[in-house]
Amino acid sequence: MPPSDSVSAYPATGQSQALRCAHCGADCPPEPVWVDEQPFCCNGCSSVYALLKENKLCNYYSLNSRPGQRAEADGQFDWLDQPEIAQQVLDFASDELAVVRFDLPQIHCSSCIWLLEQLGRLDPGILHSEVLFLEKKVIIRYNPKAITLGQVVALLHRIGYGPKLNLDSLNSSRKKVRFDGDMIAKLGVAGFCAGNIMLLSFADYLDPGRVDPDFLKLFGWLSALLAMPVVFYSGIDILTSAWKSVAIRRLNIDVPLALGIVSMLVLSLWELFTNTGTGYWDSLTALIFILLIARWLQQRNYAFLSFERDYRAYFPLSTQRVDADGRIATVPVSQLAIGDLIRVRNDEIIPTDGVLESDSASIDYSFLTGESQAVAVSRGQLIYAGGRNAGTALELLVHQTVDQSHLTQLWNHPAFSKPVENKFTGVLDRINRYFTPVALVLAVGSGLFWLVFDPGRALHAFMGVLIVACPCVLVLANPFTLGHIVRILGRWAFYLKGNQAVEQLAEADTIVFDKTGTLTQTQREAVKGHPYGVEWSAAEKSLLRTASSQSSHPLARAIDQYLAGSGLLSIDRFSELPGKGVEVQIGEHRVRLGSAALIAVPAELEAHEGQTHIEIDGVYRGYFESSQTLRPGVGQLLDVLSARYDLWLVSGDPHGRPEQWQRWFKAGQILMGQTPEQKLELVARLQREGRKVLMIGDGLNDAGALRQANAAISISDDASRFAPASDAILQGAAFGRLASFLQLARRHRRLIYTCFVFSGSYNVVGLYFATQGLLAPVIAALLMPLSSITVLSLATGLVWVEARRLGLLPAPKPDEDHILS
Amino acid sequence: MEIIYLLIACSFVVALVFLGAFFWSIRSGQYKDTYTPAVRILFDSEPEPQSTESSHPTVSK
Repeated sequence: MPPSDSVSAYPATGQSQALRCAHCGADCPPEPVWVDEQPFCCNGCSSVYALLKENKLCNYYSLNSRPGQRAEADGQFDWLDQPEIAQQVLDFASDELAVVRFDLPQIHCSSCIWLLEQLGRLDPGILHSEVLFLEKKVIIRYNPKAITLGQVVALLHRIGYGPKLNLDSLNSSRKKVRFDGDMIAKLGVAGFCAGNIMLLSFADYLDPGRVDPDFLKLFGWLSALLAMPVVFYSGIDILTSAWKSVAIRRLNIDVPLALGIVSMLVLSLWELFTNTGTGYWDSLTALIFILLIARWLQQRNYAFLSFERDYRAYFPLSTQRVDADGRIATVPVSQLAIGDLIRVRNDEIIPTDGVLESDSASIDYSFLTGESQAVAVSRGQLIYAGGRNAGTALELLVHQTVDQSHLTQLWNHPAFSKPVENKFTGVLDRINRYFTPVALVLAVGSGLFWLVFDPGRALHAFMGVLIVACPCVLVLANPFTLGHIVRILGRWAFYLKGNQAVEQLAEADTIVFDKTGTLTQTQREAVKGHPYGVEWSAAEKSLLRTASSQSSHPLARAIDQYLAGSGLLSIDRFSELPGKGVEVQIGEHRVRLGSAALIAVPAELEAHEGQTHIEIDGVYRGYFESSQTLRPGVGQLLDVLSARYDLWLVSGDPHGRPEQWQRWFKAGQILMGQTPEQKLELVARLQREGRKVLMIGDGLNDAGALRQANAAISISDDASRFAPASDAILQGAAFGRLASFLQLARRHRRLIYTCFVFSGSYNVVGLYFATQGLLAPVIAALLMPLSSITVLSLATGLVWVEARRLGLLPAPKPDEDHILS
Repeated sequence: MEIIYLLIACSFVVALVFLGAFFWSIRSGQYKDTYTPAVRILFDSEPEPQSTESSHPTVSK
């Protein structure tokens, strides 16, 4: 990207009276650090700025609306330095070197990579840092004598890349690093051996029957030698998976495949030892190679997504405990005991159930209930884990340990642990159930037939049928088609959990939408000021902020945040009229903020819900509007979907406006004020009516319904977010294209059937000869890979055509930031 | 035609060398991240003031 002028790239900070640090946005101390006529709050911020500027990376500031973040207090991360915690977080530790790996979902562009790989220049204690872009991770090596883990984390926070530290990261970093080098090695070995075997077989392909028998024999033995690692190293997973499924008396898709592999292996070895031929080594190895490619493609795009993370991923790792002597210590949440007093700051998650010790608090339970407005809680009331503190710092007496909290119990609700297997058995499993027995019966039947009438042909017939009937298409066409579809959708930031999810999406006939956070965007500070008459002056803004800062009402909090740039004044009198608004006397000014019930609104303005009106000294001065905005493209999307699907809308929000949705949802299919249990019950009821339900929601409050539904999509603006029980994660930005995505998924079955018909004709012809024991080894050897390759090209080609028709190709490239970030 | 035995032997040796190189590339982590190095190489390598290590992240082990 082009280097930008460093000064113009800055957000204007003019409206505020106090100086804001140009890097982190915090208020500057009386004597700020001045660099380039920009104020900075501390040397740390100015040095980050200097480093960025020196390298012409000030674009960093225009990329990010909330650039550098300052660690809230010095020593905030000191608890990470406790040996037992550090030991759990670090990958490796010695006296001179420590290695740590952080998830940084913020990584989204090349300047992120650049900045994070320059950490060593910000602090010499950091020896080396390396970004894994696709996994959104950074690996940092540092010298523990020069810098502590807590300082590393604080440094990352300061440059705006605060790592996610939650209970899950304690455990996951203990796990072995999930890089599948093994898969690549297996793929490479299979490709290597298959390629060499093909070279050796080439003479026989070109001029069958006339190659010197001595050479043929040598080539056969060499091929056999090369094929062994393919079967017993590369293909071992297929064999073991088939064996396991037979052991529990089920036929999975690997069984016919393993049967084909084993029969080809046995027949080839038989021919070699009895001197009756050279075997089918090329077919055998090519089959395994192509199969591994299919599996590898399947796994590839999913390195950084996690679908089934549990509540631990959501909990913070540490909290502030207030000790008996009033000192505040940061401790890991796992060390909290009943009776501890903890402090939860604004915007932090309540880590465990507790009784409020502060006078009042407002808690945002939207994650648990979907209710978008914060709940007021007063001293002595119980606050549940999972809520978010929407007010000032509060103190809480721990009532339950983290393991026993409300959120943990909700997670452990039976609906969440419903096994996935019951949900769906693929078309293929159904076909497969008949396919394998039929192929076996045919093979044994023709073998026995020829044993009676012409024993010389019996073995050829038996093996020939098994080889020809080997379900290449069954096994290969489906993962290739699905894999291709999944990959195209993934490029549009619609991440499916696995290939199976395509089928599940295709089957749906009813869609249940969650409202908050799904159709509408949850924006914490979704407040807009609408001045009436002239624009508000700076003095008026200060008055408004002062008035709103006095109230604990969520709307007032939001307005306070909206006006955060304005100064605070001292007040003379304050009164709150519950349900109506506030009245504040500030000097000689009288400010009233509230609903239309309190304030006379000029007739030409249409007063409606979600507005907070303003009156200063008896003059109407406009209103603040807080509303949940529709996601872009939702209107058109619902237009398209309502033509085909039965649509339902459920919302945990009791005050939503149903009339806004009546255009798309039938009367009686808009349900407001639903609890998570009611949502789940609705989905279950629809299913009892015989419908296939696709649930689209976000977050934990929908998790029960997501799990219950036949297919579930969770909407997220952050791919690494918690997505319980869903089959797919759809990023908010791509939501408008959902109809095309579903259409592509629905086409899948037709594509597969086309492939089946095509390869079925192959098989019928092949079987016609094979059952008669007439199938010459050379023909079989040619027919097999030829059939696989044709079917594979057909499958990918058809998907390509369909995707283009739906406008999903050409898809954005993975590094296009607006989709991925 | 006996020469073909020698040729096959030679070609196998060469092929095995490449297989070995492939294993080495896996072990050295070249498949671990197939995206970032492509971006990294485009950063201007301005004269390093102090640390030389941080400017060659892919090569160092």
